[in-house]
Amino acid sequence: MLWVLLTGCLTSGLRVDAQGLGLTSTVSSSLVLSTNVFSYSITLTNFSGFDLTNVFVTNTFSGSVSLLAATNSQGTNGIVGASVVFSLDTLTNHTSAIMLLTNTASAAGFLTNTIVATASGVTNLTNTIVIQIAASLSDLAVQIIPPVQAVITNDLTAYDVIVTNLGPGSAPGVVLTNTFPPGVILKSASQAFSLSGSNQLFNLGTIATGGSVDVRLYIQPTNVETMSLTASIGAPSLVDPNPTNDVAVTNVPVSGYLPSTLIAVTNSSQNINLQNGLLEQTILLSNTGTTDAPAARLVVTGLTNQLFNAVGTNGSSPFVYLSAPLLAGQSVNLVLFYNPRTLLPFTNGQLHAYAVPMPVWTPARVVATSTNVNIISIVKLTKSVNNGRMMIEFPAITNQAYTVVYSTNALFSKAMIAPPVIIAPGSKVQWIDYGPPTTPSAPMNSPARFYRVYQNP
Amino acid sequence: MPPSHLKKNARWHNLLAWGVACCCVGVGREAMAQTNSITAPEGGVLPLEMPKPEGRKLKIKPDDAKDKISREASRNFILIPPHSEDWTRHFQMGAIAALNISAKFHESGDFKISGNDPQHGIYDDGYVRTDDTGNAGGYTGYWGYQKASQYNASAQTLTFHSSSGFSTTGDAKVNGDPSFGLDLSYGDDFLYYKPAHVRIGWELGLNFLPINIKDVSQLTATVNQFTYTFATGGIVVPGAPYHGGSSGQGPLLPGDLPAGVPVSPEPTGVVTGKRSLDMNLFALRLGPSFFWDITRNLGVSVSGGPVIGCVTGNYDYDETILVGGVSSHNQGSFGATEMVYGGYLNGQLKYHIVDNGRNAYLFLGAQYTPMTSAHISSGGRSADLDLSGQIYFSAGMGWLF
Repeated sequence: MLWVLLTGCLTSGLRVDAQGLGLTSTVSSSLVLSTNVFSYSITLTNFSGFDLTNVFVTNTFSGSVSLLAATNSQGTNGIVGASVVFSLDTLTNHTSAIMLLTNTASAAGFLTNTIVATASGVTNLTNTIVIQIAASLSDLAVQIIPPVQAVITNDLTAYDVIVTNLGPGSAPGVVLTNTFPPGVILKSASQAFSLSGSNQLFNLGTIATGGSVDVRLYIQPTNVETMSLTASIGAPSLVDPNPTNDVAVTNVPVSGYLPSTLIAVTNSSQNINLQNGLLEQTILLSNTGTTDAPAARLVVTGLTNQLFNAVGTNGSSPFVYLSAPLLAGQSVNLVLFYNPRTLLPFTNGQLHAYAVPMPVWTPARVVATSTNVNIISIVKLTKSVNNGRMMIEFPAITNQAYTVVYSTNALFSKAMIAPPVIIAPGSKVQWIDYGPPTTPSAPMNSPARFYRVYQNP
Repeated sequence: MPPSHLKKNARWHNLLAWGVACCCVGVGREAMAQTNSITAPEGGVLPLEMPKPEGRKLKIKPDDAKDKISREASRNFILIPPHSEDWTRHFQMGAIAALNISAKFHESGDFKISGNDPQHGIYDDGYVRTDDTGNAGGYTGYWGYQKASQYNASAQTLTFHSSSGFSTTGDAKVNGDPSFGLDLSYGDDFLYYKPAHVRIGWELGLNFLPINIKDVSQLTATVNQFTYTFATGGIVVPGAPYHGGSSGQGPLLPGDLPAGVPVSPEPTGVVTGKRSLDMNLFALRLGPSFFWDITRNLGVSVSGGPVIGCVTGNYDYDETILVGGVSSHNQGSFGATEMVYGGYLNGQLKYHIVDNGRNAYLFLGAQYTPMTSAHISSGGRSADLDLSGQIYFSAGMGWLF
C-alpha cells in the first residue's frame, strides 16, 4: 500500500507504481466552492508484462459528494455502497485505462478521495487526494480610520474600523478581531463584542458582496505613546484569495499638551441667550508666555450644566478649541454655552487652557456622506449679547443631526466645519456664528464668510 | 271512526288555520323545498301524502265533523303532526342589506370646543408650553406657531387664537348608505291548506344591523374667540410655520401665559367636519308563515307580523371650526339606547340543496320593515334615526330538520 496526500495545488496529480500497476490521479482544483463542480482524472496503466484481469478502481470519499458523471475508457462503472467503482475487466499489458469522475460537494471543509486500484495477481495501489471545500470565496478587507484630531492623553476619542467584502461571494460568519496596546481603555463600541484575552471579537454576521460594516470604537488612551491599533478579519467557512488586506495596523501618536503659558478667566456674567435658549458666558483666553500657541484647548472642570458647545472630553471634563494661533501676549474671547440655561456656580479655577496642535476641521467626510440643506435666511443679529453675530436659519427635522460648514469664499475652497454637530431642537434651526470657539474669529472680523449646512446621515 | 284525540286536534287546528288566514298581514318564511302532491279522496279517511326524498308517507285521518263548515274545513286544512318526519322545522341564517334608512340631525345652541387648552398654552394656531428646563429664566423654547400673520414685526409680538365655543343652529336630513347585517330565523309548519297547496306555520327571527349615517353639512356659527399675545423680546422669530421642541433650546418666548382677550364682536365662522350616528339595531320578529312549492326544488315563502327592536349606539361629532383662517377642533360623543317597534312583511325564494347529507336550502329574500324612529339627543345636539321605510334584502342558507 502506498499513501500519498496532495494539497495546495490548483491541479494536483500523483503517480504510484507497484508490482506492474501504475496509478495516476489528478483533481481539477484543490480549493473548490461548495457550489462549484470539480473532477478527478484517473489513469491506471498495466506494466506487469501480462494481461490483468478483474481490474477495479474504487473511489471512496470522506464526506458527502454528489456524483454528476463518471466515464471510463473501458469497462463499466457504478456506485457500490458509498464508493464509485470503475470495473475495467481485463487490462491488456502495456495499456492504460482512463477514468473521469465529476462531482460537487456542499459541506465546507476538507474532502478526501481514497482511490484504490485492484487486480488479480498484483498488489493493490492507493492514491489519496485531499481538497478543500469552501462555503464562500470572498476577499475581505479591513481598514482603520484613525481619530481626526490629535490625541492628548486621557482624551475620549474614537476611531472606525471598516470591514468590506470585495467579493466575489458573500461572506458569512465574519469576525473582526481588534487589539489595543496596554494603557488604552475601551469605553464603548458601536457593535456588541466579546472578549478573547485582551482582544475584542465582533461578530459581524454575513456581509454581502460589496457591503461594508463600520465599527466605531470609543477609547481613552492614558499613556504618551504611539498607540498601535490593530484589526484583523476572518470567517471560518470562507476562503479569502487575498489575505494581505485581512489585517490593518495604524499607529496613532498620543501626546501631552504643548508647552505654553495660557490663562483663562471669565470675562462676563452668565446671560440667557434668547435666540438659542442657552446660557452663555465669555471667557478671556490669554497667552502670557513667550511661546506662540498653534491653537488652544480650554478644558472646563466641575461643571453642573452641560457645556453645550464642547467638542470633546478629556478625562471627564469637556473642552472647546480655539482653532487659531494664539500668539504670545495675545488674548481672545471664547463664548461658552451651557444647557440648561439655569445659572451655575463657576470660578476661574474651573478653567484650564493648554496649547495644542491646530485641530483639523476639514469637511471632506461630512461633504461626502451628508445631504446639503437649503439655508432659508442669513441675518446679522443686532440685539443684546448677539449683537454683531451672524445667524443662519434652515429647515430641520427635530432631533436630526446637522453640520455647518463655512468658508471665506463662495467656492468653499479651504472650507471648515463649525463644531459641534447640531441636533435640531425644532422644525427650524437658527444657528449663530458667534466666533470662537465655533469658528476661529467673529464673523464681522472676517472679510467674507459663506455657509453651508449638511444633514448628517 | 277516527280516534277522539284526532278529532280534537283537527277541530283546534281548523280554527287556528282560519284565524291565521284571516288575521295575518304577511306570510312567513318556511322551508320545504320538496313537491307537495296531496290528493284528498272523496269522503272517509283523508290520506295525506307528502312525498319526501326517502319516500316516507304521512297519513292523517280527518275529523268526523257533523257540521258542514267543519267538514269543509277538515277537507281543506290538514294537520301536520308535530313529530312528523316530514321536515317541518327549519333554521336559517343569512346576510341582509338594509336600504332606505335615514337620519335627521339637528344642532342648536351654544357648544364648547374641546380641541384646545389655552390654560396650558395650547391654542388653535400654536402652542407655548413649559419646556424641559421648567421655563428656566422665565422663558420657554417649547413653542410653535402656524401662520406668518400671527407675527407683528413692528410690535414684536406673536398672537395666538383660541376659540372656546360657538353658537349655531342647523338641520340636515341624511339618507344612509346601505347597511349590512345578519339575520337568523327559526320556524315550523303545522298545517297544510289543500286548495292553495300552501303549508302554514310560524317563524321567529332576529336580525342584527349596524347603521352608520354621517352628516357632513357645513354650519354657520358665531364663535367665541380669545387672543393671547406674547412679546417676542427682540428675537428673530423663525419663519412660519415653526414647531419648537421641548428641549428648551432654540428661540425663547416668555413662559408666563398672558390673559386672553375676547374678540369683539364675535366673529362668524364655519363648522365643518361630521356628525354621525353609529348605531346597532337588534330586531325580533314573530309571525305566521306560508310556503308554496313551485317545483320540486324551488319554493316561495311569505311571512309577516310584529317586530320589536332595540337601537343602541353613539352620536359622534368631529368638527372643525374655521374662523378668520384659524381652525379649532371639536370632537365628542354621547350614547343612547331606544326601543323601537313596527311590523314586517317578508318574501323569500328558496332552492333546495343537500348540505353534507342534510336537507338544506339557499334563499333570496326581501323584507319591508317599517318601525318607529329612534331619538337621541344631548346638549343641543339631536338626531332621529328614521326606520319607517326600511327594506331589507337577504341571502343565505337554511337547514331542515
